[in-house]
Amino acid sequence: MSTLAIEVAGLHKSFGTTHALDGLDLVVPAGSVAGFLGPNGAGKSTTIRVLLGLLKADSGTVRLLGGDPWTDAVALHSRLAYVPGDVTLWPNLTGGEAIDLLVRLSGRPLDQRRKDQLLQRFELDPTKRARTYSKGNRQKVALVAALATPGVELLVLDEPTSGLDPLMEAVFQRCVREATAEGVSVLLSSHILAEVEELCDTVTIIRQGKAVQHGTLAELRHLTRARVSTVVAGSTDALAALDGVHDLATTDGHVTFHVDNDALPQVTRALADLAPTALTITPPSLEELFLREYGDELAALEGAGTPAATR
Amino acid sequence: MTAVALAPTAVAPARPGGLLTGTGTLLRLALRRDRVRIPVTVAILVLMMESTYSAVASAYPTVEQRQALAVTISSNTAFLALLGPAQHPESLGAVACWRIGAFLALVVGILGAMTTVRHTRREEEAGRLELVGALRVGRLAALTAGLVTALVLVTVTSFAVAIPVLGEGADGALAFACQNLVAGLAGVAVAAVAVQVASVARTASSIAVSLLTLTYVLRAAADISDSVSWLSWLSPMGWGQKIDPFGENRYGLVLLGVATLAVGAAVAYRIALHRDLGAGLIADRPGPAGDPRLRSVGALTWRLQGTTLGTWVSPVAAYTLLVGFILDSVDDFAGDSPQMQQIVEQIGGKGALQDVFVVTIMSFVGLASGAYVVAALARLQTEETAGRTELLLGRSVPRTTYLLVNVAVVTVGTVVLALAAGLAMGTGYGIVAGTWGTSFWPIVGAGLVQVPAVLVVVGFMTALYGWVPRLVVLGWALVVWSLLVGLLGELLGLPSWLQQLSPFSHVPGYPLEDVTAGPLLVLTAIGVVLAAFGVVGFRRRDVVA
Repeated sequence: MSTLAIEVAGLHKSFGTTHALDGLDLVVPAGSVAGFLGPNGAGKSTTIRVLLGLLKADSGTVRLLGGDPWTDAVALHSRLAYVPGDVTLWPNLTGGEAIDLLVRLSGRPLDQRRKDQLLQRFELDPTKRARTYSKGNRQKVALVAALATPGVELLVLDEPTSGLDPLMEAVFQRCVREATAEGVSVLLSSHILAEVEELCDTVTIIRQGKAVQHGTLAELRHLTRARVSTVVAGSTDALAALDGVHDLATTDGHVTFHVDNDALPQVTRALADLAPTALTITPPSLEELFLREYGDELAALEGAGTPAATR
Repeated sequence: MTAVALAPTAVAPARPGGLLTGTGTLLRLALRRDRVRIPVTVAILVLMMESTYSAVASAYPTVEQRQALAVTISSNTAFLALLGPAQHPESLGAVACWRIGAFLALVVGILGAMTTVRHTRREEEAGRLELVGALRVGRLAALTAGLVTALVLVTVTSFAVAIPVLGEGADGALAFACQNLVAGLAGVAVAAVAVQVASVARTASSIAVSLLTLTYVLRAAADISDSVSWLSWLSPMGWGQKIDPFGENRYGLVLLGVATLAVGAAVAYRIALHRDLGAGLIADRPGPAGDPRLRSVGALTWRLQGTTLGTWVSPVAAYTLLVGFILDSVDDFAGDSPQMQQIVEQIGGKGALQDVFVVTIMSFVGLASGAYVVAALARLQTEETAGRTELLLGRSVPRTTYLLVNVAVVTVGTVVLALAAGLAMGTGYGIVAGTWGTSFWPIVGAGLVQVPAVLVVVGFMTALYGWVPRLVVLGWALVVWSLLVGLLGELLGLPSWLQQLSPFSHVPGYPLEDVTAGPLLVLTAIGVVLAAFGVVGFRRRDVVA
């Protein structure tokens, strides 16, 4: 088996005049959880549909579990499970029937015990007709069907927790961790940054069909600044003069500033001289990373004043 | 592109709104959604009326012939049940209206019911009423808009179908319009209540259609037996009959339809005012927590399409059974009428009129079967846009398997339909005539020879879905075209190549004519090639959600 569960390079896909994917690169090492981040319309679902062989790539290379998702779709699909972002079920089938069907269509036998356990954990009533399910419950049906499929090597999850409450989201995160403990690779598309931060080993941020950032969370954090908050008695002028210190502000002895990661050694030394009575250094959150990538767009939206075009 | 104002703006004080606020806007939306459907429906029904009128005019041009017909009918139970008595043989208009009236009234009633369901419960089920209900829209606006849309359809249809007989007298034509209108109003009334009672659109439709069919049966019972003739006062179909176009012309009875609508609407409004969005009076029962039989796309397809097939088979079987009952007495109608003989000649054979009748009815069964195919395979596109196809193909399901399983199930369905029609008609005939051996199998065969033509429709739909799924509606064009060619092809003198575009024009008129393998094989081959072509397309294209 290849050491990469997913390998996408230079992927292009257009619908008519819309260029949905514009040379996208994406790598998911086997056994890792990869976060796939981007706002609505960035091309996350299109990428996933290409990975599932539902859409045909215009150009670029796409490898999934060592195979070609377009030509080997059927064989590959018995080794993965997919949860769409917007789950529609057959209205007159019950949730339990839909789960049975979906598991069996992976060419796997149904493990009744596993199904029952998951139903219990997700607090899902399988005897209800799908038309009576709420969005969250339909999502649970797809999640249970995916997680109950035995022998899966890869989980492809497209915003799987949209519609789930925080308790269920915690259940979901535990389930994903259990799966990865068994060596399952995961591609998790999301725009819930806390979820990605919690679960993912690597993160790819995409924008207008292109990957703009890729790396482990640690690597990505390295690209940006930590936030320092401290309380000191003396003057902070020396601190402010140091290279790599930004946006220093003082209110009643409470000092906050941002610091470049490579400047941390000098800055902490200088801080120690000021005898701080309180000190926290927060690594940059994913949210900050994300906002940095999309900051110009946000600034453009806000700068443009009241009438902002929604896309 | 919408502009979003970020700065707070002054909020205007809310204008007071009533229960019906927004009805006008919703009505315009509903009529806009039906801007193709309504004219097409009206046009088809007008053409059917026109073809009936001209057929009656050429088959029974003289009063004597029509009187002979009326006498024959009055002694034939099956005909009385199907059409009711022919009351005024002296009037050509009356006979033409009688010939199609019972059937047309039922159709108009069902149309009214289906349109009501389409614009009320189906919208609610799809969740669109939730979106609308959150706007400045009154609680009864959506129901009212749906009812008015259905009323527009039934009123326009009722008057339009009277146009072909206008030349026979404006009074009679108006009465004929009223006859259809009564049924249409009743259809809307029944559906108005059904959509409040059932929480699922399909259930509401079947409740309404079953009740309308029941009123047809009540009318039939009243016509058969004098002792229960009062039953027809319980039936909108009976009221329509009593309006008696080109006879008594009792327009006033249309008020019974208006009263029914008033009662139906009042009940519907009362329930609608007090129930929750999405709820009905019939609750959903819990189902099984799993199903070990549901292990393949085939099992799923049977599960999803099986009930659809059932709803097509039962009316077709019931209709052909009734026709089978009548079949033995068809010969009586021809009598010595040279015109009738001429018609028989026109249809292309010198055989018994019975055979002509079998061929004609079976060609309708073929068309119904074609309509079933279009409805069943057009569903593939709905499934795909809903995202359910993606759910299946995201599992270990080959595209070829997915499409071929659906095509196979529908193909089996067409054979079942043809077989059911043949067996039902053969049985009906056997019971009445007492002869089985010589007539039964030819009748079954007459049903089965339709199958190759239906296979062309299967292939056409598969090709459309395989390559350009949003064009699956074109399947309806093929069926409607075939219907028009069948009804009016000769009459309009259409060029033969245009007529031959209808696959049904190539079906041998068995048992009137002999069956030759050639056309059947060619039709089957076209169907198979088109289907294969469709599979190729489906393997190559994007699956959209």
